[in-house]
Amino acid sequence: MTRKTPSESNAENRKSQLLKGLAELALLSLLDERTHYGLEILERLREEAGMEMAAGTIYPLLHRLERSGLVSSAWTLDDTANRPRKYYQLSESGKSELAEQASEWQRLSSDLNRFLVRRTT
Amino acid sequence: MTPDTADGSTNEWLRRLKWALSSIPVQERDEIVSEAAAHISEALDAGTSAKEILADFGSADLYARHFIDERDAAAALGTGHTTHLFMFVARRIHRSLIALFGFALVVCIAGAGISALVAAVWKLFEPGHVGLWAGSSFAFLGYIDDPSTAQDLLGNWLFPISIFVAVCAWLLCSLVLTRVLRMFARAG
Repeated sequence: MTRKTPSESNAENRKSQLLKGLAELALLSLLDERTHYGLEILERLREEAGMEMAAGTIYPLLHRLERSGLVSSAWTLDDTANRPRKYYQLSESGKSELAEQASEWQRLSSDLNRFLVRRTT
Repeated sequence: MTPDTADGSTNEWLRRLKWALSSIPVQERDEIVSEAAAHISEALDAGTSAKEILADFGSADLYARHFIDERDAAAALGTGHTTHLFMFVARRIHRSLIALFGFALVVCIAGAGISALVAAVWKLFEPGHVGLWAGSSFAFLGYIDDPSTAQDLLGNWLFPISIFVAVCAWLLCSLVLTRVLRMFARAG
């Protein structure tokens, strides 16, 4: 097993903190597309959004969003699986929350990007 | 609830999770454990090793704590009682910087409110010696041995002002605790 250098660990911590804040937005956006189950959410966030999230993070987040009424869930036995899966769906208030978070993120990232590139232009 | 292709380590992890979640209602606990078991089964079927899957979840105790904390935070926020909010934060200061910072801030604010009330009650018994005193090189709220060396800035206004300060401190504590709990819940 290779040990991480302090700078690698710091970079990972920074990334992890950033991702934590954005995970909710990415998750809501994913569920806006269609219903998903936990493992599928995790794989898509990792592969498509580049978010190295752990299973130990995603389920408590889903649980919190469900409790806040932003998503709902149901156990379903679909044709592609041999056991029931818990599917998550975006609720109406989840859609509104997604719109607000997405717009806030767009504004924030655009302002920050403008700020970060100010010295190169 | 047991993964179809589970080995001893995943079963042990799930048993541990169920035990760690014993403080929450049975239905909710079973739902969390069933979902973790379903995830483990799917991941094992996809060829991931049990060791990797369990590492991805973290320890069963830590995983359970996310759900318990989230549930307790929601319950405390639901009651809105400052004492419930305070107890939630106080129980977590040893493992959360947000809780520790919030606790320290609340202790300072509450300290100011309590000091104001104590001064007001004390003034009832020692009206000539207790007040907000200002001398040539000092100023303080409390008891002075020789009142002729300083001026009492508030006099009897100390009573209403103390009550006002205590009420403001209580409201501010409640506001800070609510914010801390929301941050804590969001931070997971």
